[in-house]
Amino acid sequence: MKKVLLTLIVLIVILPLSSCYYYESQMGMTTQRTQKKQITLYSIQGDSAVNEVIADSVKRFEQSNKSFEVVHEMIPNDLYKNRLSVCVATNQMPDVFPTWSGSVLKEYISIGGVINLTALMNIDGYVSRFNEKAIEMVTVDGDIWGVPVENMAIAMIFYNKNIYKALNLSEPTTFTQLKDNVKVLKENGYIPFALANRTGWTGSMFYMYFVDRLGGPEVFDNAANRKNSGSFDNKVFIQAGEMVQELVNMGAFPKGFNWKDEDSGDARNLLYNETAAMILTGSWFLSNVKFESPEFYEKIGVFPFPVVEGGKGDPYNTIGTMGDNFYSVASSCNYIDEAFELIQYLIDDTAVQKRIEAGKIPPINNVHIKDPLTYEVLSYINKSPNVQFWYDQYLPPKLSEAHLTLTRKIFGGEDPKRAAEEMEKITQQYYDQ
Amino acid sequence: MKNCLLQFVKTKLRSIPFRTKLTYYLVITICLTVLIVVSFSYTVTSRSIKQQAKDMTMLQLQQNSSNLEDYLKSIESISDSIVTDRSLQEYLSKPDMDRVDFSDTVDDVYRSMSNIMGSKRDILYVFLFKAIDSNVLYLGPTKAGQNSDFSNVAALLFKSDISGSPIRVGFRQDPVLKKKYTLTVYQPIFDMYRIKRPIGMLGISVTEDVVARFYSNTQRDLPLETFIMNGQGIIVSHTDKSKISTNARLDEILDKKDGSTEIDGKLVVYKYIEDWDWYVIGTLPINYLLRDNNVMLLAILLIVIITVFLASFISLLFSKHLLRPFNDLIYRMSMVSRGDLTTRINLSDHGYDFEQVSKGFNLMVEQINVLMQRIVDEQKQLKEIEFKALQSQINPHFLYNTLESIHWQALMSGQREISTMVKALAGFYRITLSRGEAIIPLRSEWQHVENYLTIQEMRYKDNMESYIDISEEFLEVMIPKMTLQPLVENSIYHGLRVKQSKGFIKITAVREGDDVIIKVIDNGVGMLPHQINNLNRTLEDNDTSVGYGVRNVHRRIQLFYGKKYGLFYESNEYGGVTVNVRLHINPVTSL
Repeated sequence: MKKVLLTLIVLIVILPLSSCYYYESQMGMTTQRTQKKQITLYSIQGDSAVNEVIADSVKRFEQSNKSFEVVHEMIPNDLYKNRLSVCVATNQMPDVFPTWSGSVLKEYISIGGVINLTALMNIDGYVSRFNEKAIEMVTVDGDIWGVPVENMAIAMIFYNKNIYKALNLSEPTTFTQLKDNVKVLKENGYIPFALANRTGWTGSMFYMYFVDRLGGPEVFDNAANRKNSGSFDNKVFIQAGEMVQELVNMGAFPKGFNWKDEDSGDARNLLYNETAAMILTGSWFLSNVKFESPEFYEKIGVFPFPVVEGGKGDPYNTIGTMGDNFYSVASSCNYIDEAFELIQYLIDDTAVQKRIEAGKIPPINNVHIKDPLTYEVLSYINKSPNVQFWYDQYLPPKLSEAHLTLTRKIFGGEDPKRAAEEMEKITQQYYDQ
Repeated sequence: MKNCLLQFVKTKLRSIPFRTKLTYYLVITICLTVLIVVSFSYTVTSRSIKQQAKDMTMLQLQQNSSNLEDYLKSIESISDSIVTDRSLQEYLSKPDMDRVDFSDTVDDVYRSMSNIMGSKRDILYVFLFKAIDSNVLYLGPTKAGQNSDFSNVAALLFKSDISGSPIRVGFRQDPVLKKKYTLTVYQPIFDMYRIKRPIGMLGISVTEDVVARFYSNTQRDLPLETFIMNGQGIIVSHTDKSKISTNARLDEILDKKDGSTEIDGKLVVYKYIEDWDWYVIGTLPINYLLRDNNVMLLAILLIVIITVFLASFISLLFSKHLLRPFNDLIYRMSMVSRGDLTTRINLSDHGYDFEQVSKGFNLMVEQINVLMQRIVDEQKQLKEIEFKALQSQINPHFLYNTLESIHWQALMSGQREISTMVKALAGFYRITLSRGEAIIPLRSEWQHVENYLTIQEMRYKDNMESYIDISEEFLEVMIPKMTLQPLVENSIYHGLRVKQSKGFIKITAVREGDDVIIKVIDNGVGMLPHQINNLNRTLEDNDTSVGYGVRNVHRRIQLFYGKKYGLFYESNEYGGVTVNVRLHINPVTSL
């Protein structure tokens, strides 16, 4: 009897109380979420198509690795190098990040900032998926330090077929023919070459091609690697500078090109609104166009950089990269296997297919490309006996900066000889230290 | 009608047993208490839930909006440091030219802009518009193919009322990157040396996504919808992009204040950001808040049902327990009412009050019993006194002796008839006046009545004759003295004497169970049925006016044997009347 009464009292008291508790927990005052393991991923902000491919890969990785969360940050191209050096300096390296291989990657290897991926790459022969030349770019002393993910890209001259047709021009095979075309275009009020050279690497393509066409790849190789008594004040470098200035003086480039910004799309805009006829740029240009101005895509024609009469270089030589973005895993990463898996997602079959659709050439073997323009680019890559890697990415940062600054100065009217000497001086100082 | 119903209910209620009533009252009391407690707690919790939600939402909004404000302020303040920058001033004061030193100036300006971009991660783009030649330096995502339009900048810059303070342009389709939805802070730049001459405009743009990050609800399980509405009631930023540029239909809160209200079943909490004329708004469906309350309502219903059951059960137990002494009392009462005055009750186990009740009851019954006994005794004494008074009216010895003398004288003088008669008379009176027992064997009574009959037969020689026929077995049956004589006398005087022809009186006895019935039968004039009934009834009455002798006999028998004994008159087949005298065969001698 008393027990029953007690139970009743307890019930009456406890039920409202418990419901109060229930509300509290429902109101989310004490909710805790299970913390997911994080992998930070940096990527270089490309065009939207590429951004989407990367985001999609990340999403697929997260779906199959539920306990992981990828913190993905996209950084504009020009800010990227700077951001990365800040990260190194503050010891806040992202777990997975791209480099352009070359000197930057070598520097990270030398400070032990990245993981040796050789073992992981050799699991089930994963490495054989990739173009050998691309793997070569991230191979240092026989070890693999990065995975080529983005575009194989070479610099070529893309032009507006309509303008060429209207002016009855044909694709030039020699520098002289090119200069003739420039003249005609100029006379007809067109800007012959679109160029936005604020950051220097765009204009540098002309310079590199002239060096290659004049002296072949050995000239740069010798100068950069300080062998065979090579140097940057070599006659070939001076001559290349003079040829650049020849074009500048002909008015081949738009007004104020030296402070136009490539990333902002200043140069491409000139093509899209058909005030400029040509552009010397990397083949990523095709995917840019596809995204930015699809109707312009139909008007594009492409030809390799013309031969310089009397030059030693192979006319099929190209300047470019076999992988563009090479993803490495930072040695500070806590989940190396998962980080590597994330990279694999970035360049798995789905991602490859999407990249091809976006007009890219993934750095893997047996790519099937239907788009005629992209295919043409790919065939040039295949034909090319030597793909000269961009100077600015091949050289150590200090020399890279000097190269870009001096080249830009040449475009701005600096004496090519002085520029070449300056470059040589900086290089000597750099190696003497 | 209503009164009738009320009356009906009242009667119904009154007719309900006490125990049931008690149960009802207990159940009702408990349920009421539970309901009050529960509804009170329900009201309190639901109110506090609402208040809590309001407070939480407000707090979150305040945090979000102050973060947002800080962010926007910081964007506005970025430009402060560079408006007076030397190279910027130099660049803006000259038209573009292809010269190396100019190129360096532009590089410096770019560097400053690049610093702006670097200082805040979420800036979409920065541009610098030059008034002289409308050239633009731009840092940000590619604007290739986007038909960028800077004409609005020129328009803003050449307004007459331009001042040095930043111009805030809220969310709209970005004029530079048409695919984006941005807000832009425009900072006019004036010539350092010539007051009031605008030479350029610095623009910093932020996408809606970035701003949305500041207010968007991070708790996904809470359907808190936050968005930004401008001073015209148009949504300018929303996590659901399709709602941007639509009317929020919240015109009633456009009062440039913070607050909260309820609109269309939604709790709307809002915070005003003055600089941008924005309202950061959080809405929470009220039925989401009450979702929990409904669960509670269900729980309450369950509690009430359980309580009713429990209460009924407990009340039944309670009332049973409480009413046990009452039931006992009622039972004892009914025993008393049936005449059992020996019954006693003990309720002291049930508490002090019941102890008092049982004491009182016992005392009362005890006293009633004593009183009753006293009355019975007094009555008996009274009768005895009455009888003895009757007897003492005659002086017996004198009478015997005289009658004895007469008997002998008559016998000697040969007067047999007189001798017999006197002898009978003497015998008659001997018994009548004997002071012995009030109750005598039937044998003696027989002699007595025989003496009487002898006398009467001689008196009414021609009118009557008599027989006494009682079997041996009954002769020891005890009978009150002078029982039969008055009956016989009645028969003679009221029955035979008035009859013209000769009649008889016959006395017999039969057995009936433990009783013996002595019958005094005559064939006199008899009585009508109603007269007999009357007579029988009169026997029970205490009315002294009628038939004193007969009634006295009847009462005496009853006094000795009990209520069921006594006289009973009936007509007989001889046309006369039979008096049945019922006696117990073994009379209680003590009486």
